[in-house]
Amino acid sequence: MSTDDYEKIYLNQGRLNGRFRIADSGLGWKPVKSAGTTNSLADKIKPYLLPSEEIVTVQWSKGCKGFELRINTKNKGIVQLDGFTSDDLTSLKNEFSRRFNASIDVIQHSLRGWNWGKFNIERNELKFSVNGIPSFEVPYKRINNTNLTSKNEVAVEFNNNDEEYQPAGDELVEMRFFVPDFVIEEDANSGEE
Amino acid sequence: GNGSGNLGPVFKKYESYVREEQIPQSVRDLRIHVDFNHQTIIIPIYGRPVPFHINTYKSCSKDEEGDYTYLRLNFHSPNAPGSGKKANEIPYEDSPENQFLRSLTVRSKDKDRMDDVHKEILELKKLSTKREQEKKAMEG
Repeated sequence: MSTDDYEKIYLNQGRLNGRFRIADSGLGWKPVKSAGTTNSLADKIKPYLLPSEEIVTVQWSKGCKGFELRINTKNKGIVQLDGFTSDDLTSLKNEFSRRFNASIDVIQHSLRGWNWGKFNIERNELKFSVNGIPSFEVPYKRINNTNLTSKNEVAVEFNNNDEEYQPAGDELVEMRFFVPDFVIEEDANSGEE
Repeated sequence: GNGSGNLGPVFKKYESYVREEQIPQSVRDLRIHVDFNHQTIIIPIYGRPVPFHINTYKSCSKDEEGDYTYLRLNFHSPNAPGSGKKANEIPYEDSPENQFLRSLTVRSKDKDRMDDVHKEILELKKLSTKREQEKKAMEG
């Protein structure tokens, strides 16, 4: 088996696994089709292609399915590919380095189980970190609306009516965050003394 | 009492996991899970299995609307409604620099499963409270 082909990979929390392929032109993913079925879910899901010039940074972290390759792109948001095994990292690193001159950063996530930390507003996602270690990320693509629900409380509503995003499992609807004044004043760059 | 010399309430440290391998395989289905062994609720957040220790948990509500069952989890945070009581211990680090995930709502069409998860969360909270009380009684 060649090292540029990976089976049973899930794209962006999708319900079907597929084949992930690395080529000089970029990355590709397509769902597996079960033999003999017509009009199945796999027929409705389009293959995904990411041109190599879109790749900005690449991360390797623990995902729900296995290990996740998380690609920050220039114009296409975050691309998540989950279901790799820990053994895949070496060959992925080689392929990304050889073909795209891109490194893969191994990022450990917080396992403490705490609900406090800090936001980082990144290129394509909102990142919540506990003691400087990331806990979770929310791609901006998934956010529908944000509201100030009470003093120092921000509600983030997620987009649950996206035809193109039909994830497996439980759907997130809303998160509320408590943001103390201290941080707001700093961010607002206010001149108050 | 505590020897720290601080007058405010004390944060007693706790941790869900130490190693990634401790996260149960069940998270593969991208659904909420309750891990009794590690006193933790695991919530899938855009593909990431995110642990929340039961000590962060405050309350939970379940609602049905249309085809969906909604589960809203509330977590401890400063200045939250109904948390005016002064305690010796708080389940978080109180610093003006800390931002808090205060609540989180998920939904599913699988009503029976959401009912089960809801029960499990309440059960875990009950066990954890009982354990804390026993510990305090032992310490005198």
